[in-house]
Amino acid sequence: MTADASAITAPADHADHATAVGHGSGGIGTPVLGMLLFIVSEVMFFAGLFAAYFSIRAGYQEVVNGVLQHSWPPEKYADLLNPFALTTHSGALNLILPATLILVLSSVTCQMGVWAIRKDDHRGFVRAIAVTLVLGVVFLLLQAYDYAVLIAEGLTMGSTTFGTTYFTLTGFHGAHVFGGVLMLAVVLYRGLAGQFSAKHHDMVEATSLYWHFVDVVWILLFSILYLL
Amino acid sequence: MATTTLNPAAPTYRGWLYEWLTTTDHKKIGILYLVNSMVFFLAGGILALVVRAELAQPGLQLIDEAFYNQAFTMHASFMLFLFVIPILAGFGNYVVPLQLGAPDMAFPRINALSFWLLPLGGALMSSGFLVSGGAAASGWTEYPPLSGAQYSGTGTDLWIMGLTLIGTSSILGAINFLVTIFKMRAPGLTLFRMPILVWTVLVTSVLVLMATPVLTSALIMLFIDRNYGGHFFDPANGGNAVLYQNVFWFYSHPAVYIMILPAMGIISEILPVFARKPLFGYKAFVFATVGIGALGFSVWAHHMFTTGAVFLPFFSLMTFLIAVPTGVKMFNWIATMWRGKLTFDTPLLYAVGFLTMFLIGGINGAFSAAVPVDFAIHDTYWVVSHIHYVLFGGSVFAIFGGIFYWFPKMTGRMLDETLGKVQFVIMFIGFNLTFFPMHQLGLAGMPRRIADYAGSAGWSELNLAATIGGFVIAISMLPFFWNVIVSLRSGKVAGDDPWEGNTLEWATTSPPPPYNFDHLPEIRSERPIFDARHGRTDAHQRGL
Amino acid sequence: MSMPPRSRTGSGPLVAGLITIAVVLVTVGVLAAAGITPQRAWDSFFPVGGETPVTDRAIATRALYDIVFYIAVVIFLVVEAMIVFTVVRYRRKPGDDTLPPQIHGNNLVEVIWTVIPTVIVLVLFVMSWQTLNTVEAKPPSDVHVRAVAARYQWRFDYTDTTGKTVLFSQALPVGADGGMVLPVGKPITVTLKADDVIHAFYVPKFLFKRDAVPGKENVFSFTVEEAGTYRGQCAELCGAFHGSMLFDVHAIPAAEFDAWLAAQIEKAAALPTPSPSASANP
Repeated sequence: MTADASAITAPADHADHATAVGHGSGGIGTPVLGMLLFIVSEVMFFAGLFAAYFSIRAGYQEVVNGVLQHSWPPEKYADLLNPFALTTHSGALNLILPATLILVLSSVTCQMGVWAIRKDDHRGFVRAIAVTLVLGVVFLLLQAYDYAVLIAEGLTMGSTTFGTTYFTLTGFHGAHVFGGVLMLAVVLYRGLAGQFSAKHHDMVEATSLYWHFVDVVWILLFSILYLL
Repeated sequence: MATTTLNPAAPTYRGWLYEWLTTTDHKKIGILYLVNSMVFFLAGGILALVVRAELAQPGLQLIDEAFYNQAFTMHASFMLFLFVIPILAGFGNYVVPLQLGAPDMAFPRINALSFWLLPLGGALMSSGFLVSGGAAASGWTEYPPLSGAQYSGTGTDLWIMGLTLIGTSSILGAINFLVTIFKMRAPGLTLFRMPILVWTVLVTSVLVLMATPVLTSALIMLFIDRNYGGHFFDPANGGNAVLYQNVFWFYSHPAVYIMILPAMGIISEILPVFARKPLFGYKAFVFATVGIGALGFSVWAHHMFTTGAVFLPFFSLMTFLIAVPTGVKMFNWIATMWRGKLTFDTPLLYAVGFLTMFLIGGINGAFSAAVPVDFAIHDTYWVVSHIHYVLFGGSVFAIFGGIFYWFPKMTGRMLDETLGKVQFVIMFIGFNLTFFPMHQLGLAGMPRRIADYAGSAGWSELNLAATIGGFVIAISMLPFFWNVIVSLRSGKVAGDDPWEGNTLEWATTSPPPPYNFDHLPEIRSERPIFDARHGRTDAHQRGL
Repeated sequence: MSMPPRSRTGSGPLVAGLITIAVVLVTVGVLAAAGITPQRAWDSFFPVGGETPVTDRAIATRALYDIVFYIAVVIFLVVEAMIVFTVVRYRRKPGDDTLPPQIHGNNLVEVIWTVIPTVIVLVLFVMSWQTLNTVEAKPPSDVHVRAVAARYQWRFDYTDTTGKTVLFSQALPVGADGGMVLPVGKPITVTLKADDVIHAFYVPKFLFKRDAVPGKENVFSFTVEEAGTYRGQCAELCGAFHGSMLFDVHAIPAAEFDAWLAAQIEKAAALPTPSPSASANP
């Protein structure tokens, strides 16, 4: 969408102005700069949520075995969030680790798509973006499955501050993945229509930046919620 | 769509209303920003009059306590989020592309989206008055637990949703400004030749980009607590009530600079033109602006000195230090006028009004940096006085200066000078009559946000004075709106450059064509039009 | 391009001067008619109308306030004088179309007006930090009061020095029989508690306030230096009736206080069932 806006409305002579100042073809494209700045704002949004998470985590206390102590995650949910356990208490499969690997993999395929279009390799580009899109959707389905398992085990938004922070952080990440999937779908649609080339593919670059950002946020979330 | 208007001969085949509703022209969007902001300025002003009328004397005469709380909450929400921030963004929208010699903003359609989110957010926020329980009533800061589901009604949810949209509008606007400034400057317009207004919009945009998303996160956490059983700020379930204040002020202190920096930019445009001198210390000004922006992120907790939950000396030091770049600006402004040839047209009057009043707002802010003094004056009327000397004496005076300065460019007609001066005098007197006594009220121990006070408290006379002042301010708006209406129809024709301006917007017609410029003058300094008018003299560097 | 010369009104300075004189005269006239003496007007620029503060901490705060205030007044007068002088002196004369000297800046003056304010604020910072340490000091004390804020009233629990056992609970926040009763001349420790929303303990004559935050206990100390009854009020918006959340502080001689507390404890013990809230521990 950002790509469209500038492509249509910036008058032809404007590019010359920009070149004269030294910010033209040599620098990053206007839509890519817009996306980078948007990602900065998204980083700050997640920074707010992470700050709240750490503040609440540091102050959390509960009575364990009759003693008031700091324990995080709360005793009750501690083994629910072991990413390396094969199944949960109720015997449901634990798929959070595969989901993580799938998202990381999708970042790789996305980048392969960018490299392909830079070399004008349309077939490779479309294939890589399609795979990325499918992986993104699979991640979302796995996250929905994971939510269902956790809720069945009794962890909800209201289960102590842990539940609140867990579902808020992962939920907003999921919403961002969903947004990324929509952008990938548009890129794929336009790619199939043959709209991108080695010279003109700002939207692909911007979408891939966003997708990498979403991936990095998940790696952070996974480390903090499951490993730390 | 902007491209259709690139051909000036293209006939207008769409109606007037359709054109304004669908425009992506930065100038039309800028004017939409200004008009929308003035509507909320009026609404917020009426709420302020309700508050002042209720406080005129002890006892409850007009409204009950519950509505009183809604009135001051929505007054502040309108004035901050729907008047000051957007109207400055409106000036930015109109003026920045012109001053850069650009044909439009970098993302014109996103620019239109940024604007249209505002009336939508404002309507959502205001719709609280229609639901049972009324509008948000926990103050514009909406501290939990008071703003939680247990103590506040649906109005608070509407407030949160409205403000989230407004925040999104600001973020998209900031991205647009930054990309425009970095990618669309005219040939020769290097960073250090940009008008100071552009610099202040640049720094403001960085602040918006870094701070506003944090507000969004605070609002979302509050919304989750209220509606989905979350416990972020719920102390009964392991949450932390002060956490909200930290996250909120991490945005809302930089927001004060979001509300004052572009106003400083407007002043820095007006003073050199009416003194017929260059801005004194251009680079110092740029560094001071950047310095205020950077320090702005390290002072948020000075709003929380009395919570007993923040490290006092650090935030005290940072708050004191922010006075330094602000002082540098003040001295540079005075030096700009020094040995100048001042023409007292209305924009300069407002600029001088800004200097004299913002000085008070700067000085009475320093009292709060001294933590023990803050313990005495925090949450009293002193603070109300301080914020109004900064945001009214500062931002609003600059906004009116900007309106008088750029109205000829926007409409092709001048505002009437006599009405403008009458308005200035009434507003200046009313403003001081309203807000100066609040210093003494605060020192005498009157807390803010109370609907009533005892006659024996000794606050009655000062409150009456403040109320009279509030209505004097309201009266000063009458000549203004009359002026706008009359001047639009029959004001003096302005011509391209009625003030003998310095910057690129005066190089095109008034109002400018949709594509802005037929050709641009050569840009060799921060005053290209001055250079074109007088020729570049090398006698610039004669000493003070 | 040649622009028509802008119209200059020669009467501008005259009008401005007349308005200024009129405003000053009206202000002075109204103040005089209201019976406000110059002394009272001056005093209104100091906390609680310039009255002597009544706690040790308040005296320290007032001393700091005075320093900040006088520095502020000097800066205010100097800078406003500079603005007014510049505006009056450098008016453009009618018919004068020449350009003034085009001065772009001067690094020396920039350094001067950066360094001088920096020094001033650093000095102010150090002084306020020292005062802060005085105000925040928590000496050992025998009188422990837990002030519990709830919408829209105050309760004052007198506890033993550990703060664990409530000796007596004062449920009435205002009036001769209610309020927070304190001994003069003895260090007092107050613990603030709130269970519903955030409130703030504010006594104007103490020049002090502190928030009562749910889920967090705030502790502060002070010594009242002068007997008397002092008005207190909630200072953090807590709901519709925030403005009526008042309390009184009665400072009485230490001997009277001991007798009063002993009598209250006896009275409370004589009651068959103490109110449930009074016996509740944190």
